[in-house]
Order: sequence, then C-alpha cells, then structure tokens
Amino acid sequence: MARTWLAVPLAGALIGGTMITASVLSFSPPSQAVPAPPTPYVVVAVNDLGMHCSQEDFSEICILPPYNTLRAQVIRPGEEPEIMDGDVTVSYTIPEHSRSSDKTNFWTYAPQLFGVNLAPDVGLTGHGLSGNIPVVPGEEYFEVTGIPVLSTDDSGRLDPYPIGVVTVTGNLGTATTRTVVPVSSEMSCSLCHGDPGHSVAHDILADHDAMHGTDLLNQKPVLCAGCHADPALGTTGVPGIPMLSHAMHTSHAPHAASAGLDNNCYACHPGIRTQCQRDIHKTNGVECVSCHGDMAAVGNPNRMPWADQPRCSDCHDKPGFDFEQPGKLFKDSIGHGGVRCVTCHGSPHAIGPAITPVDNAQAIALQGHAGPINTCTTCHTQQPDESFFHKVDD
Amino acid sequence: MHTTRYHRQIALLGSMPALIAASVAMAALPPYIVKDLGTHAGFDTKLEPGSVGTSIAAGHVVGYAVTSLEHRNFHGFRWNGAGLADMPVLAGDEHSIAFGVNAAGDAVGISYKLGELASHGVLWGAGGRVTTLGNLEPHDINSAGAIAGSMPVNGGLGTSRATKRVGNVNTDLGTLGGMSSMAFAISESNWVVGQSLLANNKTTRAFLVASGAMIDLGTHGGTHSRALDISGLSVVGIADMTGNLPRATLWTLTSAGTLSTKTNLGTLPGAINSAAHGVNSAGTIVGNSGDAAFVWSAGTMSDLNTSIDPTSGWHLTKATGIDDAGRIVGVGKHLGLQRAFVLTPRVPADLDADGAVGATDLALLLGAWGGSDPTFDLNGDGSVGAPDLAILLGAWGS
Repeated sequence: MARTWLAVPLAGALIGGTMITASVLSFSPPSQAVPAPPTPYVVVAVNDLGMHCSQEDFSEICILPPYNTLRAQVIRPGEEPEIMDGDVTVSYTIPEHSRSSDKTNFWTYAPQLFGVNLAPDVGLTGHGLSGNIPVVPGEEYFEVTGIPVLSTDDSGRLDPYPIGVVTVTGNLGTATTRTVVPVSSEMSCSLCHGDPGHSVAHDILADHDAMHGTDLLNQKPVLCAGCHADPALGTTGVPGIPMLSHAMHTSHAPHAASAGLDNNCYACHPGIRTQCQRDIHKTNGVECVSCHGDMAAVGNPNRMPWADQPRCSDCHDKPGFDFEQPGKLFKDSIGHGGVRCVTCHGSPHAIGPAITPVDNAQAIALQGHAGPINTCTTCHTQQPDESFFHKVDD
Repeated sequence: MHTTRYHRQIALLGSMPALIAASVAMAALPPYIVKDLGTHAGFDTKLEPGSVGTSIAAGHVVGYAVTSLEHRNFHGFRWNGAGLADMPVLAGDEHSIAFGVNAAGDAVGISYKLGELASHGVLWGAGGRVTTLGNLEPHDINSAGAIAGSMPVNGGLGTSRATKRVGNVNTDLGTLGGMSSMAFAISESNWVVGQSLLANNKTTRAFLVASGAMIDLGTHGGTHSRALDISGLSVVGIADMTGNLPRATLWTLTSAGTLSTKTNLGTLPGAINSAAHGVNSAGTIVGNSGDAAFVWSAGTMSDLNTSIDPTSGWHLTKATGIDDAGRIVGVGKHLGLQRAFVLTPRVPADLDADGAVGATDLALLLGAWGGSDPTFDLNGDGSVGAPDLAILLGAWGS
C-alpha cells in the first residue's frame, strides 16, 4: 500500500493538566537533524504501555505475571513511503535478557495460577524472549504479546529498561532498531504490608481473609484476577466481586497518604526507583494524577480499567489539529497516512523526549535527535513541499 | 594449645546441666549452618527485596542490598563477618552491584544509574581502594586480578562484547557470530566463559575462550545455553534439553581448552527446570532447581533446604556461588523477607551449630557420653567416647 506523506508529525508538546493551546505545538523542521543513513526499511518499535509490572516470586500471590508487548511499524522509504503490512519478516530479540526461568519461579506456579503448563521461558501467549513478530491481521503493524522478560538481565543487573532489538528483513534488505521493553517488579506493597516473620504476600492474604471472610492463606498461590475481573489479564472474575482495579484503588485510597511519598501512586505502581512516568510530561511537571485523576477517580466503579484512560485531547487543543482517533486511545490510534501515534511519539509514559536516555535512543538513531520523530527525511526521501498538519487523515 | 583450652573449659561444666539435658533431645545436625547477611544498616526491614549474595571466594562474600527507603537504591556490599560494608557508587550514579570477588577479597561490579546507556565498571580493592574500569562491566576476577566482563557496543543499547581484562588491557573476545556476547567468569588460567548470540541473533549459546577462539559449548538437544562459572576444567551453567527445558549443566574441558564432556545434572524432584550458577575446585556445583537452591556433588543433586535447620525460618531459593572450602552464597526468604545467605559446612564438632567449637559443644558431647547418638559420635564408631572427645578438642576454636 503506497501512501503520500505530506510532512511530519507533531513535535513534542507540553501539557499541564489543563487545556492549552501553546505555540509549542507548531511544527518547524529541526535544522540540526542528521539524516539517517539510507536503509531499505525504517522500522520503529515501541512497547504498548511504557511500563509493565511483573513479580518475580509467585509462590504465594500473583498480581501480574511476566508479560510484555512489542509493536512495530515497518516503512519503506520513498518520496511516497509505504507502510508494510506483509512481505517482510520482523523479528525480536532481547540480547541481554535471553532467559527468565532462572530469575523467577513463575513457571513453577503457572499451572496452579493459570491452569497451563508452559515451557520455561515461554510466556502466556506462547512467545519467548526472541522470535518473530507477526503482522496484526487487517492492520499495518506487527505485534508480539506475552514476552516473559524480567527486570534482571543475564548478568544479574537490575534493569527495568531492557533493550530489545527488532529486525526487519525483506526483499530490499535488512534494517534494525532498538527499543525499550520496560518491566519492573517494584510494586512496593512492603511499604504498608508485612508482619515480622511473614512475607508481604502472606500479610496481604491475611488482611484479605480478615476483612472479607476469605481463606486465601490456605489457597496459595492466589491469582488476584481469579476472583477480581481484570481486563489486563482477560479474566472475567466472579460476579458480584469488584474488578481488581476498582477493589485495589478504593480499598487503598484511605491509606495512600500514609506511604509518605512525593508521588503516592508509586506506593504500588513502579515506582520510586523505576519511574514509570518518565516522559516529556514528567519534565514539565505533569504527574500521574494530572492525567489519571486521584484514586477515587481511578477506582470509580463506572470506569472500565485499562480502557477508560486519559486522552491527549483532554489537555491539548490546537485548532486544526487532531489527536486520538474517535473511540481509540493514543496507544492505538493512527494518523498521517496510517502511521501510529506511538511510532513517532513513543510509548505512553515514555513519550519523547523522555528523562531516560535509553528511551530516547531510538529517535536519535533514526533522526539524530531525541523527541518525536519529526524529521521528514526519516521516511521521505525528498523533503515534502507541503506543510504537515496533525490530522488523522493527513 | 588444645590442652590449655580444654582445662579452661572443663571448669565450666558445672554450669551446663541444662545444655546437657537439651542434648539428649538433639537429632542429627544438618550439614550446613545458615547465616542471614541482613541488609545495609538503617534501612526499613519491611522492604523487599532486601539483599542478594552473588559471589564467594575464600570466605569473602559480596552481593548487593537495598540502602534506603526513600530512593530504593541498591549498593554493593562486602560481608565483613558482622555486617555489610558498603561499596559506594561513583559520583552521579545511584546503584552499585558487586558481581565477583577473588580469594584476596578484591571485588568487581558496576556503578550505574537506571535508564542511562551504560554502566561504570568498578574494582573495589580489598584494602578499600576504588578503581574505575570505564565502560567495562566486570563480572568476575581471579587471583591474579584478571577480569571477565562485558563491554557495551552500539552505545550501550542492549548489546555488548565479552571482554577479558589482563592488567590494563581489555581484549574483545568476539561472539559466536551474533551481535552480542557477555562474559561471566574467569578461571585461574584466564579462561573465560559466558554467553553469545549465534549468527541468527535469536539463539544464545554458552561459550568458552581458552587460548584460542571462542567455542560453542552446545546444549542437550535444545536451543539455548549459558555458561556461568568456571573452576579449573569444570564449567557450569544452563543448557536446554529437547523441548527447551533448561537444565543445570556441567561441561568438562581438556587441558588444551577443548570440550571433553557435557553432563545434564537433572532437576530436584518435581521441578521443571534447573540452573547451575557456581562450581568450586572440588567440582561441587550449586544452583537452583524450580524454587529451591541445590548442591550437586558426585552425581547427586540435593535440595539445600534439607541441609539446614528446618526451624531456621529460611527457604533457600538460589545458590549463586561456592568457594573451595564449600561455603555457599545465595539468596532466599528468611522469615518472609528476601535475604542473602551464606551456608557454612558444619564442623562435626560444632554441636550447637553456633559456628565455632567451644565450651557448649564440649558440654553437649559429655552429656551424650557413653551413648550412641550419631550426632555426637564424631568418628562414627557407634558410641560416644574418648575418640570423639579427641576430635572435638582437636577442632577447638575452629
């Protein structure tokens, strides 16, 4: 499918929790851009969320298993660049995270937790730590789900930002990119939970039993989403029991402040050390609650977890500009002739330029500078004459 | 020397009736004494993970542990027998990890900041001197000070080259055809082992670099393998069986630096995987299988949790290293918290398992005098008597 690209997408924009029409949204081609060396394809890969959580010890409780997702778009450069939806092979590897089964007991407890016998180092969707990335049927991107990567690399280094190498091979040759496959086990339940002599997980289950009349201590390992529906894992839960997100946020809301953190969200979400929120918004003072609201808002039973999420257009407003597609989130939207928003801007929570150099590396490799990919000649072999408008159908 | 101590302690026996009585109820003692290394001083004990032991040599133990509740920083540590000595980070960094230590107590590891493109290699000398090693990420150091590690390539974006450092010279050891390799251990003869991608850049294989080129140590019919430690002519790590089931593996080498044998060490009962992390000069191997730490010797893999006091509150999940005296370092859960541990082989005469042979042990032995309790029958002749007392006195103070 050949498409005409008129210009480049939006430069990184500021928001501050309120509607803005800042002039920073205006586009001007960066004069310092360094043309990327010619390659037969341009491949851009991103993580779907910007951070995934995973425990390493599943012997007592499972909130989230090792499960990561990579998405990639492949573009054949030209005066009229083409987004590839086939005819190429896309593969991934995480060279310094080649194995996870010696870093977690997930595979020991997966049969009890998920009712499946997984081969070690194979995730819940059958994918491992390297392999091919299939095209999403009917779409112009490639996706692999359930990568069981953890935040400890093969040398033993703690690293919530593993680097994945994505390679595309086709008739025209080969191209490669490197992107962060973020994962953290920094769920800091221990800030509040834990009694001497018992694990944090034991204390959590004991509290649940005391408050709700359950007998979870005798049912280890416990999958929280087994009873509490969780769209993240696709579980439907038990009728009458709140969804996991609702239950967690409402029950913990009264206690969040007692964690004594600058950002109370990091009492449970990763984290103080990990910094899930590390993008351009963070640089400009936008915190989690600026977009997501407080715990009462997130725990609102009328909200659908993982689906009802902040929209760029909640804050950004520039006449003539489009942001997400109607009914779709930033992470799933397209514009500019089928280019996905995240392809140029980066993952949610890591939108460029991020505060973490690893998250900026892909953009720098492609166009010579961090931030959204806004150098036309990254994909256009000739600088387009027409200006670019940030429109879905542009 | 022993006689003097003996006479001094005999005088104490009058105050030992309780111990003597207690000895009657003692069962056979487990072969290892487990020590919780704790965490860096001043941190909130509820915080987990707390500490991880990574390496041991001649009794020197290193690892890393959380330092502060506020920032969740990890710093490398050196176990000094009573607590953790901090291995500070370099200026501008936040975390450090000590990966390896040699018999002299020189330790190597990294200082880094999460999200940066590269780490900084550090040599923490036994005497306290800190030497930076540039971008080399060292993982092991031998007695002569030669280092095995990895040097980032492509700006540190997830790929590196296995590197050997002798003196101040770093040597790129190459790869098995792929884009990246990592070195994890170095022997006394400067042979290096680690892992490398093959040319397809999907398959990871254990490698050895002896005096020649890097060689692929192979698998048990599966896809991937990793070599994690070397001692003499023994290399250990993980290799996949058919079906890609990971198995702790022992590769033995010829004196010429070629592969001789490859042994699948199996798993603990019920476990689906295993990994060998350390080997000593006697060929004793440690690692983890499923959710438990193991020791392998003379063809038998044993769960280390069955070799410690069952009332200790420990579950040992992974053994990461073993020194030539048989001391084992690793990580487990102690009273619910993740902690680094050291296992010390019990001296048979250390009857009260306090780590030293002394008055209490003597009292216990005398309390069992004339009986046949195997706990106190140190020479195994079927009765507790003078020969056992001689053994105890011979070990006095050890």
